[in-house]
Amino acid sequence: MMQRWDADSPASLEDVTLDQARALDRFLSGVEKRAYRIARIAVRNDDDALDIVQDAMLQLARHYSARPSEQWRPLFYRILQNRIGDWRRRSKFRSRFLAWLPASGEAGERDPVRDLVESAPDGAPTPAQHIVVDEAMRTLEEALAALPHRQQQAFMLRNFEGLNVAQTASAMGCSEGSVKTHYSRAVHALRARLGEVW
Amino acid sequence: MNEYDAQDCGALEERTRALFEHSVADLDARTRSRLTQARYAALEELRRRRPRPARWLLAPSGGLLAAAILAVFLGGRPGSDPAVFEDLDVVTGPEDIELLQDVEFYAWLAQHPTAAQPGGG
Repeated sequence: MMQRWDADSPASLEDVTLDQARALDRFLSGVEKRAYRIARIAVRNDDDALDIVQDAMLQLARHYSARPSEQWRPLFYRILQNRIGDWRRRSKFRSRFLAWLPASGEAGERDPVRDLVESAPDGAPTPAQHIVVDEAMRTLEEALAALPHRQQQAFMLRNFEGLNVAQTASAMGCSEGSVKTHYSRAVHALRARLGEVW
Repeated sequence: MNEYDAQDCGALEERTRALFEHSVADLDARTRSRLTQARYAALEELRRRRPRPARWLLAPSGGLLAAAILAVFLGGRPGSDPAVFEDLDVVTGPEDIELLQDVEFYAWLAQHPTAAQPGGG
Protein backbone atom coordinates (compact mmCIF):
# COMPACT_ATOMS: atom_id res chain seq x y z
CA MET A 1 0.00 0.00 0.00
CA MET A 2 1.29 3.42 -0.89
CA GLN A 3 2.48 5.58 1.99
CA ARG A 4 0.05 8.43 2.53
CA TRP A 5 1.57 11.73 3.58
CA ASP A 6 -0.08 13.70 6.30
CA ALA A 7 2.19 16.46 7.54
CA ASP A 8 -0.24 17.57 10.22
CA SER A 9 -0.52 14.33 12.12
CA PRO A 10 2.41 11.98 11.78
CA ALA A 11 1.27 8.70 13.25
CA SER A 12 4.54 6.96 14.00
CA LEU A 13 8.28 7.31 14.18
CA GLU A 14 8.43 6.21 10.55
CA ASP A 15 5.89 8.85 9.57
CA VAL A 16 7.83 11.52 11.42
CA THR A 17 11.00 10.54 9.58
CA LEU A 18 9.29 10.47 6.20
CA ASP A 19 7.61 13.76 6.88
CA GLN A 20 10.96 15.22 7.89
CA ALA A 21 12.50 13.97 4.66
CA ARG A 22 9.74 15.49 2.62
CA ALA A 23 10.06 18.81 4.45
CA LEU A 24 13.83 18.81 3.93
CA ASP A 25 13.39 18.00 0.25
CA ARG A 26 10.97 20.90 -0.10
CA PHE A 27 13.31 23.24 1.74
CA LEU A 28 16.41 22.28 -0.22
CA SER A 29 14.67 22.42 -3.58
CA GLY A 30 13.55 25.93 -2.66
CA VAL A 31 17.01 27.23 -1.78
CA GLU A 32 19.43 25.21 -3.89
CA LYS A 33 19.49 27.43 -6.98
CA ARG A 34 19.75 30.63 -4.98
CA ALA A 35 22.46 29.11 -2.79
CA TYR A 36 24.35 28.05 -5.89
CA ARG A 37 24.18 31.56 -7.36
CA ILE A 38 25.40 33.05 -4.08
CA ALA A 39 28.25 30.56 -3.87
CA ARG A 40 29.06 31.11 -7.55
CA ILE A 41 29.28 34.87 -7.08
CA ALA A 42 31.50 34.37 -4.02
CA VAL A 43 33.95 31.82 -5.47
CA ARG A 44 33.54 32.57 -9.20
CA ASN A 45 33.84 28.95 -10.21
CA ASP A 46 30.97 26.64 -11.22
CA ASP A 47 32.33 23.35 -9.86
CA ASP A 48 33.55 24.82 -6.60
CA ALA A 49 30.18 26.50 -6.09
CA LEU A 50 28.37 23.20 -6.67
CA ASP A 51 30.68 21.41 -4.25
CA ILE A 52 30.05 24.06 -1.63
CA VAL A 53 26.26 23.84 -2.01
CA GLN A 54 26.31 20.03 -1.94
CA ASP A 55 28.41 20.05 1.20
CA ALA A 56 26.08 22.55 2.86
CA MET A 57 23.09 20.33 2.01
CA LEU A 58 24.80 17.25 3.43
CA GLN A 59 25.80 19.04 6.61
CA LEU A 60 22.28 20.32 7.13
CA ALA A 61 20.81 16.83 6.62
CA ARG A 62 23.45 15.20 8.79
CA HIS A 63 23.47 17.55 11.76
CA TYR A 64 20.42 19.78 11.77
CA SER A 65 17.54 17.96 10.07
CA ALA A 66 15.99 17.18 13.46
CA ARG A 67 15.77 20.89 14.26
CA PRO A 68 12.48 22.72 13.64
CA SER A 69 12.23 23.52 9.94
CA GLU A 70 11.95 27.25 10.57
CA GLN A 71 15.57 27.14 11.80
CA TRP A 72 16.88 25.50 8.64
CA ARG A 73 17.24 28.62 6.52
CA PRO A 74 19.66 30.58 8.73
CA LEU A 75 21.46 27.34 9.62
CA PHE A 76 21.83 26.40 5.96
CA TYR A 77 23.18 29.81 5.03
CA ARG A 78 25.55 29.75 7.97
CA ILE A 79 26.95 26.43 6.77
CA LEU A 80 27.13 27.79 3.23
CA GLN A 81 28.99 30.90 4.35
CA ASN A 82 31.38 28.79 6.42
CA ARG A 83 32.12 26.63 3.40
CA ILE A 84 32.71 29.72 1.27
CA GLY A 85 35.06 30.99 3.98
CA ASP A 86 36.91 27.65 3.92
CA TRP A 87 37.21 27.90 0.16
CA ARG A 88 38.66 31.39 0.40
CA ARG A 89 41.24 30.27 2.93
CA ARG A 90 42.26 27.29 0.80
CA SER A 91 42.39 29.48 -2.27
CA LYS A 92 44.62 32.00 -0.51
CA PHE A 93 46.89 29.21 0.68
CA ARG A 94 47.15 27.78 -2.84
CA SER A 95 47.97 31.19 -4.24
CA ARG A 96 50.75 31.66 -1.71
CA PHE A 97 52.04 28.15 -2.34
CA LEU A 98 52.02 28.63 -6.11
CA ALA A 99 53.87 31.93 -5.73
CA TRP A 100 56.86 29.89 -4.59
CA LEU A 101 56.89 27.81 -7.77
CA PRO A 102 59.24 28.81 -10.64
CA ALA A 103 57.65 31.49 -12.75
CA SER A 104 56.56 30.63 -16.29
CA GLY A 105 56.89 32.98 -19.28
CA GLU A 106 53.58 34.67 -18.55
CA ALA A 107 53.85 34.68 -14.81
CA GLY A 108 52.27 37.68 -13.20
CA GLU A 109 49.80 38.17 -16.00
CA ARG A 110 47.45 35.31 -15.11
CA ASP A 111 45.85 34.01 -11.94
CA PRO A 112 47.73 30.81 -10.97
CA VAL A 113 44.70 29.40 -9.16
CA ARG A 114 42.54 29.90 -12.20
CA ASP A 115 45.21 28.28 -14.36
CA LEU A 116 45.24 25.30 -12.03
CA VAL A 117 41.47 24.92 -12.23
CA GLU A 118 41.43 25.25 -15.98
CA SER A 119 44.17 22.67 -16.43
CA ALA A 120 42.41 20.12 -14.23
CA PRO A 121 40.98 17.07 -16.04
CA ASP A 122 37.39 18.08 -15.36
CA GLY A 123 38.02 21.76 -16.04
CA ALA A 124 36.74 21.53 -19.60
CA PRO A 125 34.35 24.26 -20.65
CA THR A 126 30.79 23.42 -19.63
CA PRO A 127 27.59 24.37 -21.40
CA ALA A 128 27.07 26.88 -18.63
CA GLN A 129 30.35 28.55 -19.52
CA HIS A 130 29.23 28.85 -23.11
CA ILE A 131 26.05 30.68 -22.24
CA VAL A 132 26.35 34.38 -22.73
CA VAL A 133 26.06 35.97 -19.32
CA ASP A 134 23.95 39.02 -19.04
CA GLU A 135 26.25 42.01 -19.10
CA ALA A 136 24.60 43.73 -16.20
CA MET A 137 24.86 40.64 -14.02
CA ARG A 138 28.50 40.26 -14.95
CA THR A 139 29.15 43.85 -13.98
CA LEU A 140 27.33 43.30 -10.71
CA GLU A 141 29.28 40.12 -9.99
CA GLU A 142 32.53 41.95 -10.55
CA ALA A 143 31.44 44.71 -8.22
CA LEU A 144 30.39 42.19 -5.58
CA ALA A 145 33.67 40.33 -5.95
CA ALA A 146 35.53 43.55 -5.22
CA LEU A 147 33.75 43.98 -1.89
CA PRO A 148 35.34 42.84 1.38
CA HIS A 149 34.10 39.35 2.21
CA ARG A 150 31.89 40.36 5.13
CA GLN A 151 30.23 43.14 3.14
CA GLN A 152 29.63 40.72 0.29
CA GLN A 153 28.08 38.21 2.69
CA ALA A 154 25.82 40.79 4.30
CA PHE A 155 24.67 42.17 0.96
CA MET A 156 23.85 38.80 -0.58
CA LEU A 157 22.12 37.37 2.47
CA ARG A 158 20.07 40.50 3.12
CA ASN A 159 19.30 41.67 -0.39
CA PHE A 160 19.32 38.47 -2.44
CA GLU A 161 18.13 35.96 0.13
CA GLY A 162 15.85 38.31 2.00
CA LEU A 163 17.09 37.23 5.42
CA ASN A 164 16.26 39.72 8.14
CA VAL A 165 18.97 41.29 10.26
CA ALA A 166 18.74 38.68 13.02
CA GLN A 167 18.84 35.76 10.56
CA THR A 168 21.76 37.34 8.70
CA ALA A 169 23.61 37.82 11.98
CA SER A 170 23.03 34.15 12.76
CA ALA A 171 24.20 33.07 9.31
CA MET A 172 27.30 35.27 9.49
CA GLY A 173 28.06 34.50 13.12
CA CYS A 174 28.21 38.14 14.17
CA SER A 175 26.10 40.76 15.92
CA GLU A 176 23.10 42.46 14.36
CA GLY A 177 24.94 45.79 14.62
CA SER A 178 27.79 44.37 12.55
CA VAL A 179 25.33 43.18 9.92
CA LYS A 180 23.87 46.68 9.61
CA THR A 181 27.32 48.20 9.30
CA HIS A 182 28.54 45.69 6.71
CA TYR A 183 25.35 46.00 4.71
CA SER A 184 25.35 49.78 4.68
CA ARG A 185 28.99 49.89 3.59
CA ALA A 186 28.30 47.30 0.89
CA VAL A 187 25.40 49.28 -0.56
CA HIS A 188 27.43 52.47 -0.66
CA ALA A 189 30.48 50.74 -2.14
CA LEU A 190 28.33 49.19 -4.86
CA ARG A 191 26.63 52.49 -5.50
CA ALA A 192 29.98 54.19 -5.88
CA ARG A 193 31.26 51.49 -8.21
CA LEU A 194 28.16 50.94 -10.31
CA GLY A 195 26.90 54.51 -10.28
CA GLU A 196 28.50 55.40 -13.58
CA VAL A 197 26.94 52.59 -15.54
CA TRP A 198 23.63 52.26 -13.65
CA MET B 1 22.39 59.26 4.40
CA ASN B 2 20.22 61.99 2.88
CA GLU B 3 16.91 61.42 1.12
CA TYR B 4 18.50 61.37 -2.33
CA ASP B 5 21.06 58.78 -1.27
CA ALA B 6 18.36 56.61 0.31
CA GLN B 7 16.31 56.62 -2.89
CA ASP B 8 19.41 55.96 -4.93
CA CYS B 9 20.46 53.02 -2.79
CA GLY B 10 16.92 51.68 -2.71
CA ALA B 11 16.91 51.62 -6.51
CA LEU B 12 20.25 49.85 -6.51
CA GLU B 13 18.97 47.24 -4.07
CA GLU B 14 15.91 46.63 -6.23
CA ARG B 15 17.88 46.37 -9.44
CA THR B 16 20.52 44.04 -8.06
CA ARG B 17 17.80 41.86 -6.53
CA ALA B 18 15.97 41.66 -9.86
CA LEU B 19 19.19 40.72 -11.63
CA PHE B 20 19.88 38.04 -9.07
CA GLU B 21 16.38 36.59 -9.43
CA HIS B 22 16.83 36.58 -13.20
CA SER B 23 20.12 34.74 -12.93
CA VAL B 24 18.54 32.14 -10.62
CA ALA B 25 15.65 31.57 -13.03
CA ASP B 26 18.09 31.37 -15.92
CA LEU B 27 20.26 28.60 -14.52
CA ASP B 28 21.27 26.09 -17.15
CA ALA B 29 19.89 22.55 -17.18
CA ARG B 30 23.21 20.94 -16.31
CA THR B 31 23.61 22.98 -13.14
CA ARG B 32 19.99 22.36 -12.13
CA SER B 33 20.50 18.64 -12.64
CA ARG B 34 23.64 18.62 -10.53
CA LEU B 35 21.85 20.52 -7.79
CA THR B 36 19.06 17.96 -7.84
CA GLN B 37 21.62 15.17 -7.53
CA ALA B 38 23.23 16.99 -4.62
CA ARG B 39 19.82 17.28 -2.93
CA TYR B 40 19.12 13.58 -3.39
CA ALA B 41 22.50 12.79 -1.85
CA ALA B 42 21.59 14.90 1.18
CA LEU B 43 18.22 13.18 1.51
CA GLU B 44 19.91 9.80 1.22
CA GLU B 45 22.14 10.89 4.08
CA LEU B 46 19.02 11.66 6.11
CA ARG B 47 17.57 8.22 5.29
CA ARG B 48 20.77 6.47 6.35
CA ARG B 49 20.77 8.36 9.63
CA ARG B 50 17.12 7.58 10.35
CA PRO B 51 16.74 6.72 14.02
CA ARG B 52 16.24 3.00 14.68
CA PRO B 53 13.65 1.87 17.22
CA ALA B 54 15.35 1.54 20.59
CA ARG B 55 15.82 -1.99 21.89
CA TRP B 56 13.67 -1.28 24.91
CA LEU B 57 10.78 -0.59 22.56
CA LEU B 58 11.10 -4.15 21.30
CA ALA B 59 10.88 -5.66 24.79
CA PRO B 60 7.09 -5.27 25.28
CA SER B 61 6.37 -6.78 21.89
CA GLY B 62 8.71 -9.65 22.77
CA GLY B 63 6.86 -10.06 26.04
CA LEU B 64 3.51 -10.22 24.30
CA LEU B 65 4.83 -12.83 21.90
CA ALA B 66 6.12 -14.99 24.76
CA ALA B 67 2.82 -14.61 26.58
CA ALA B 68 0.92 -15.67 23.47
CA ILE B 69 3.11 -18.77 23.14
CA LEU B 70 2.55 -19.55 26.81
CA ALA B 71 -1.20 -19.09 26.48
CA VAL B 72 -1.35 -21.48 23.51
CA PHE B 73 0.88 -23.97 25.32
CA LEU B 74 -1.17 -23.96 28.52
CA GLY B 75 -4.61 -23.13 27.17
CA GLY B 76 -4.99 -26.36 25.30
CA ARG B 77 -4.56 -28.50 28.44
CA PRO B 78 -7.63 -29.63 30.30
CA GLY B 79 -7.59 -28.58 33.90
CA SER B 80 -5.21 -25.69 33.42
CA ASP B 81 -5.05 -23.48 36.45
CA PRO B 82 -6.79 -20.12 35.71
CA ALA B 83 -4.46 -18.51 38.22
CA VAL B 84 -1.66 -18.94 35.77
CA PHE B 85 -3.53 -16.75 33.28
CA GLU B 86 -4.26 -14.19 35.95
CA ASP B 87 -0.51 -13.90 36.36
CA LEU B 88 -0.03 -13.15 32.69
CA ASP B 89 -0.29 -9.42 33.27
CA VAL B 90 2.64 -9.77 35.65
CA VAL B 91 4.55 -11.76 33.08
CA THR B 92 3.84 -9.36 30.24
CA GLY B 93 4.40 -6.23 32.28
CA PRO B 94 7.48 -4.20 31.55
CA GLU B 95 8.67 -4.35 35.14
CA ASP B 96 10.45 -7.70 34.94
CA ILE B 97 11.22 -8.78 31.42
CA GLU B 98 13.59 -11.48 32.68
CA LEU B 99 10.56 -13.50 33.80
CA LEU B 100 9.79 -14.14 30.14
CA GLN B 101 13.06 -15.79 29.44
CA ASP B 102 12.06 -19.18 30.83
CA VAL B 103 8.74 -20.20 29.37
CA GLU B 104 9.42 -23.84 30.22
CA PHE B 105 9.45 -22.99 33.90
CA TYR B 106 5.90 -21.64 33.69
CA ALA B 107 4.83 -24.76 31.84
CA TRP B 108 6.28 -26.88 34.62
CA LEU B 109 4.58 -24.65 37.19
CA ALA B 110 1.25 -25.26 35.50
CA GLN B 111 1.77 -29.02 35.74
CA HIS B 112 2.73 -28.80 39.41
CA PRO B 113 0.26 -26.35 40.93
CA THR B 114 1.22 -27.29 44.48
CA ALA B 115 4.69 -26.00 43.87
CA ALA B 116 3.25 -22.53 43.67
CA GLN B 117 1.58 -22.83 47.11
CA PRO B 118 3.48 -21.62 50.16
CA GLY B 119 5.22 -24.60 51.66
CA GLY B 120 4.28 -26.67 48.66
CA GLY B 121 7.91 -27.43 47.83
